[in-house]
Amino acid sequence: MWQRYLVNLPSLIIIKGSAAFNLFVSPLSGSCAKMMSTMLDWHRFIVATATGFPSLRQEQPVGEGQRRVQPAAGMFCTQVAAASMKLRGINCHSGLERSTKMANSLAEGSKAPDFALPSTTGGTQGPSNYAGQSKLVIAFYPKDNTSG
Amino acid sequence: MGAEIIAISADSLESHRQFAEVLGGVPFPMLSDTTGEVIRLYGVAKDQGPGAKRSVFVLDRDGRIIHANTEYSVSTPEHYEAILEVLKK
Repeated sequence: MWQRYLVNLPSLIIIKGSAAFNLFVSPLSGSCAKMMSTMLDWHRFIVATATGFPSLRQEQPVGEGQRRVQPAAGMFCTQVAAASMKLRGINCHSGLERSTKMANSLAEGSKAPDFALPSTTGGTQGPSNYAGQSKLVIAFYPKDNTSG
Repeated sequence: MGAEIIAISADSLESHRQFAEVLGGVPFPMLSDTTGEVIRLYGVAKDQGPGAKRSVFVLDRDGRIIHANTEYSVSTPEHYEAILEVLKK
């Protein structure tokens, strides 16, 4: 019997399922996992961290019943979960695929996806405008006129 | 340190210009992602509603990600320092 929660935060997937696949895959950092842990019973989850974000490299404690796995293993777990749910006819693997894709594309060391967006300096701007010239800091923020 | 900065939100260019004016000018390009396409591409969409989570990616000259923080907090000095660290390299 499958009881499942699919918390589809942008890059956070939680599946609560059978004993075989109690799996938590978080391509995000441990602090995000910690936040979620206040909302859910963690004891039956495996924690799979699927990226190499720096915050994950700092050893953050995992709770009882949780296990920290290497990025490659995290990817494997994601794929196993997706396959498992597919087998059971549960059609929610798109989120998993997105998670997998994201972990792939945004891991440190990987090529940043290129884009071209309208800029206040005129025309469009994107990573390719800076390639071969300088390092580039891309800062995303929620909304104009917000602090910080 | 030889780095450029671009800022991205889901606001319009008009909104960016107004914001820049309030700040007394902004010394880097502000990009408008009104459809949220790039925000999603980088996996930094907010849980609810339009807009991006405060996130920072640092790219090297070859366009590779050398630092990523999708939970950037302005009140956490370590986040800022980590960026400076990779820019110094």
